[in-house]
Amino acid sequence: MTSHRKRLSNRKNAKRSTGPKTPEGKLRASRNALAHGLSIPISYSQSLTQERQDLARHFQETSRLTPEGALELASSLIAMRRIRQAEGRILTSTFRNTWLLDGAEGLPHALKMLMALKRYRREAGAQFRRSHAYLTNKVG
Amino acid sequence: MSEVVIMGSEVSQFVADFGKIPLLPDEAAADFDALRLDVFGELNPKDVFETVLAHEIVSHLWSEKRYRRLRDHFVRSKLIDALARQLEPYLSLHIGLLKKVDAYAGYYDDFHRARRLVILWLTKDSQAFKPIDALIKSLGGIVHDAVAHIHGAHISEISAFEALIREAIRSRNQSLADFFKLRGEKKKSLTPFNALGLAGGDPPLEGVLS
Repeated sequence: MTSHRKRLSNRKNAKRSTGPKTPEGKLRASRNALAHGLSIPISYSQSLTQERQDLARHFQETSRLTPEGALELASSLIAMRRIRQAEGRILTSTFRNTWLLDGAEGLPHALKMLMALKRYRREAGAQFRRSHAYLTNKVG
Repeated sequence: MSEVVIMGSEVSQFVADFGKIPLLPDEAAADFDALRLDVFGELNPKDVFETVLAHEIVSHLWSEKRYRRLRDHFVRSKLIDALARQLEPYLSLHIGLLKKVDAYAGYYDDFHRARRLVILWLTKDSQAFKPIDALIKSLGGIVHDAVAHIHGAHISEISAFEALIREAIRSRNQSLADFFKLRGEKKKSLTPFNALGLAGGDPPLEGVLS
């Protein structure tokens, strides 16, 4: 069992170590729990939101898509692209040299992350199919 | 066919960029472009929906091939280490063979000497293969022991690679089904894509157990 003296000492030491202090350190630490970032909605990113709006507007102007359908289509395309980029980031950081499998010590984690993309890929695919249904007036 | 969404230049650019995938260091952009040309030539997509699905099909075909290759490299790499560990204790008895087939043998420790021998054997080196093969055969079931070790120690990684390959195939088939559904056609055979050499890949242990 931890002694009273040791507990006090631990508390004292812990107060000296209260996380990152610099803005760069805080930014880095804020991303500690970030795995692939795909669970973050598009609406959290100003540039992605803008891109989605621009694409949706274009689809709406040039097709029979409803506003909802155009937004679904734009969202699904951006989601598919994000998945592909996330997959690329995981792969390029793990397999720098395929034959030697340099960096393969991170392989189990990388494989787990790659497997986790499946859910997002299926969601994006379903969203893409939904958008086409708006076009053919099956929905809405 | 769903020729109702016309692709404007900005969207065309987006969709073209959308089709790009990050390549690994040992992957050639020319091979990827050739695959894309083949698939697009075969499917001839007419609008943004079809183009996106064609890009998805290319991406899944590439992923399937990529994960097969990575799995094979992984198994080969682990096989080299496992066989080297099996071979290592016997090396001091076969120092003559070592010097004969590997001029650099003196620079390494026993494990790395064994590793070099295994690589020469697996790559079927013209001079070294026969004597190393004879040595390995004389030692009984060390290849089977090494393979058993790989399956015991790395089953989770191998299973994960297999699952990624299955997922790529499933996604490709889904995209193909979606594509032909949009066109109101029956799903076509996958034969043209298989003809591109994407159906399989070298078995990771090809020739080793023969």
